[in-house]
Amino acid sequence: MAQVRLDKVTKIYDGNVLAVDEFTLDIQDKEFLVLVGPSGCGKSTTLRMIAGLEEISGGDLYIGDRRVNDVAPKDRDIAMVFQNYALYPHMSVFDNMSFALRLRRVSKAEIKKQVESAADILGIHELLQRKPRQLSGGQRQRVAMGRAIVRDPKVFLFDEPLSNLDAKLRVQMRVELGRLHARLETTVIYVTHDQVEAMTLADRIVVMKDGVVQQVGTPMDLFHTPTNAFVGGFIGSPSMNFLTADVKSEGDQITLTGNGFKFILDDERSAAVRTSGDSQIQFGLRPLHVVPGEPGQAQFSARVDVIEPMGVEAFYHFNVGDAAVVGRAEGGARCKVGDTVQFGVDYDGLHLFSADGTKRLNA
Amino acid sequence: MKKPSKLRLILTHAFLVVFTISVLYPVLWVVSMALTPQQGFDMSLIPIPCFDASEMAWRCTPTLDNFAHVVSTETADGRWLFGRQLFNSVVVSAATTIMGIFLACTAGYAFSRFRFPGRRAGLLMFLVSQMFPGTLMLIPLYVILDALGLLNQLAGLALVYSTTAIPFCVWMLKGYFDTIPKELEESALIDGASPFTIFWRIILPLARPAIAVTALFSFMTAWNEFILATTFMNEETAFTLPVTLNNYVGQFSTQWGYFAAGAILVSVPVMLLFFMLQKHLIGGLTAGSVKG
Ligand SMILES: Nc1ncnc2c1ncn2[C@@H]1O[C@H](COP(=O)(O)OP(=O)(O)O)[C@@H](O)[C@H]1O
Ligand SMILES: [Mg+2]
Repeated sequence: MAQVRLDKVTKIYDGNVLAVDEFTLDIQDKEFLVLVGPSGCGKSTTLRMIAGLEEISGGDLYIGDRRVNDVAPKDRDIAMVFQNYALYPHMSVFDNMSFALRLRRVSKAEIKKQVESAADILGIHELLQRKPRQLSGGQRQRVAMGRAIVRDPKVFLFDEPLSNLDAKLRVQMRVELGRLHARLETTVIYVTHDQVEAMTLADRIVVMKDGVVQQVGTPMDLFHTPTNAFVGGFIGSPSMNFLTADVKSEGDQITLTGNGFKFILDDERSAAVRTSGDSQIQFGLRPLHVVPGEPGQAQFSARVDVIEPMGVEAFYHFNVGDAAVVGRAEGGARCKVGDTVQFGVDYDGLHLFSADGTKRLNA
Repeated sequence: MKKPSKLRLILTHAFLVVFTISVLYPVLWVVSMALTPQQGFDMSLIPIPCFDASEMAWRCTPTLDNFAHVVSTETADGRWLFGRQLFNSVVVSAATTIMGIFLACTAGYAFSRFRFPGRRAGLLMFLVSQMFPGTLMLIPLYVILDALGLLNQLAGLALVYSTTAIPFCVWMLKGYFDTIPKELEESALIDGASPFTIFWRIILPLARPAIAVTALFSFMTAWNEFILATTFMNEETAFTLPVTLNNYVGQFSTQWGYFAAGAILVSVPVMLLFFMLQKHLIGGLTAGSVKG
């Protein structure tokens, strides 16, 4: 059993840089948990505290049932894959993979068996005698994973393992990672700044910003109900559109008005905005819910600036007042740049936030 | 790659030839003097032993007598002096090298990886100590060695040489350790390596080129030095080879043949060491550890 439990885990560097602020989370056994957020938000620091490479300034960390705040990295039963792989350059792939076992004085035969079984899983059997410098980026990546697998740890820690690979290889390794997790059935904590990796790999995602956890949830939770504008904007590609609106009460209905639009909200959403009492709010709309040529529950009418055809879909870029907005057409473009187009808005995709974006108003 | 033009090739080679000659010319001169039986200072333009360039004639026959003489020197009571002095040089240089590498590796690693009070000051002190010429320290060092009872002792000389070699070596190694990614150590730490294992099995093997340079530098510091050696050593049997060599240069006359032969003999071990270490003096050992 390898749950990992963080209870108000905090990191303060050099007495004044607050890198991670009271991180609290229960990570389940065999869960694939992804920490995602922009660069500098404290993901690596969190991971390194779990690994034992960074001292914990406050709070408690448990792996299994054991509090490990003061346990040495090697005794935490974890394995870590670094962004730059950190292979030992003077050792062959075999020696790299067997280093930990040799230190534990495992027998030669046993070492050979384990290294070969890991090499088979990763398809690197024929590379075992090579030196790291004789490997391609993707192969190094596999060796780094192999080194982790050989140790048969309770928890795998990955720090942006794919970010040094080119785009195509990244997609390929991403799929393999998913497969590997299914096969090894081990808890994985995975750090990335790439929301696509997070969405595709995670059982649950933790979105961080400035050292503070913004939201924890399944990929679909985060996609459909982001708790604040930051999460809304971070998860999903292309990103969510944001518009600021003035709130007007007209009878039972609430109207959102701004430069270039007027949305009359339905009862449920009106109630949500009214409860908040805000006179100005921000709302988010994914391109998915801004559809050209559809009537929708509300409309934008705008001149299309850019069209990005993607084959199965096309993205239309246009302006509403000062805000840049993206809409999505199923099946490809049906107009030209410069045309004025009606976009229908689907209220199911309406995310209402407080004006500063920190609070979600609708359910 | 584009093939360089002919003119460019010629110019490059001409340039290299000129520099090779200007580097080798003095060496040839020394070789020529060493092979000439007379102890005079031959001013001829072309350094060929015994050949008189102005008259285009041979004056004598080149021999190895000078080498034989230098190697076979004896003490007053008939023991082999050259052997003794060679031994002195080897012992002092080896001790300096071993001490230099050991202390510089450990100190360099500490300066590279740990943050401790006095770290910056320590590094600066090392740098400052390099700015003074060694002879400036002559008198204080003499007094210290005297107090320690190490005058006229090989150990004393090795100690002094180590202290002069170490600052450079520490900087050199610290700079190299700085380039070794810290993730390698962290990875080893998670793999279960102790700090000592990490140092011994990860860091030192990777620092081989820098250690080779350090070794060569320490060895040469000790092997070639003569001012301190002349000052601290006052018995023939305690001399190192450079001191002996210098003794061929007399106040009134100089035995150039012996001097030249001795100089060549003394430089052989350094050359050998260089060839031995050459294959380690390659950069880029960390290639492949991180993103390439
Ligand atoms: N060793 C350190 N000393 C001081 N500050 C650090 C150190 N490491 C990271 N930080 C700071 O902590 C914050 C979080 O860093 P990090 O966890 O590396 O972010 P991420 O991995 O999400 O990009 C950043 O502001 C960074 O500058
Ligand atoms: Mg990071």
